Amino acid sequence: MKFRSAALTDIGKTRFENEDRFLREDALGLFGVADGIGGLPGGGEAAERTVQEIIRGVQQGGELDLVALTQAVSQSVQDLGQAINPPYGIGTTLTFGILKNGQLQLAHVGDSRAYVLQKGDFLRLTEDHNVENEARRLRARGEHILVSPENRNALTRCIGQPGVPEVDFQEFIVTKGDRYFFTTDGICRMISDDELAEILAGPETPDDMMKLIIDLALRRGGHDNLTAVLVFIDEA
Amino acid sequence: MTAPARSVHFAALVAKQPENELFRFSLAQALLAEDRGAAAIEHLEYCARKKSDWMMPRIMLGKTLLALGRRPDAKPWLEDALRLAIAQDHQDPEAELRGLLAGFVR
Repeated sequence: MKFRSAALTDIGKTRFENEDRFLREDALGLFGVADGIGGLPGGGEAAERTVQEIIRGVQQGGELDLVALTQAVSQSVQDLGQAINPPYGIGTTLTFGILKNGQLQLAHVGDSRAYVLQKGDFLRLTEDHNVENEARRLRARGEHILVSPENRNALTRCIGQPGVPEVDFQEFIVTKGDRYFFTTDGICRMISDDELAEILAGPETPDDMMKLIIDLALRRGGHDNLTAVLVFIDEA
Repeated sequence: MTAPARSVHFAALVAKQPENELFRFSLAQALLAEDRGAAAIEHLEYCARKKSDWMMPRIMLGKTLLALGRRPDAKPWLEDALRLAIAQDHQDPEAELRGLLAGFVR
């Protein structure tokens, strides 16, 4: 498999610290993002511990179980949280994928996102784990759920908080020409899916495309940290 | 020892999560690569019905049905895919679909 990748992170215009981290390890075929939870102290530390532990886990080789690895990383972040913020702990989102043998395995917890542009179709590969989506799921089962507007984006799953997080797992066949995009919510709250699809279909290199996306999010306010990773599959 | 067919791997994932359209799409791709188009159809149909704006399963479904000699069944899927290709400005798929649909009027 041959691919080109690019990653970019920006503190944005309103935050004092960049609590996002990204994974871009070409040699491992490992890509993704982590968005430290801003409502708690130590978001940056949570995201940093997460990406470092994921890299370490993948480097160990062997038969990889992304769900088990993600859950182990969550425990590690939880342990760190006990040390630096005992009352509430720390937390982060995590969305990452591994390209191997012509397939992508994807693990996801939180409200960062992964997309693929494949022969014209732009598909969101992840579902945001937030109150709004959880309420939608419960309503579909016939339950009567009310969500206050200020809580609708609150996370229902994350890395680092007590308990073992439920991890969404995807795996699918990669084809030549696919473009995989991992992003934190700082970008996808500023740029719609339709706009992202249009940008990602463009002729630019991955590096130039990333700059376009970050610049657009900044022009629209850059209210959060902005981080994304882009992978072009040149040969499956 | 021969590696198990890719379709076996994805069939197991579909068995665990039958509502996961991405698993089904990969299973369909694997079955098509193994020249088992008839088995891929139900999974492509599932994907197409689950996402009304997903073009690729419609194209693959139409082409698979054509290959199986089921021309009347293929046509509506190809027409639907063409509608999406035009709406989303996907020029290469549009050209391919127009070519396939032209075969129906000859």
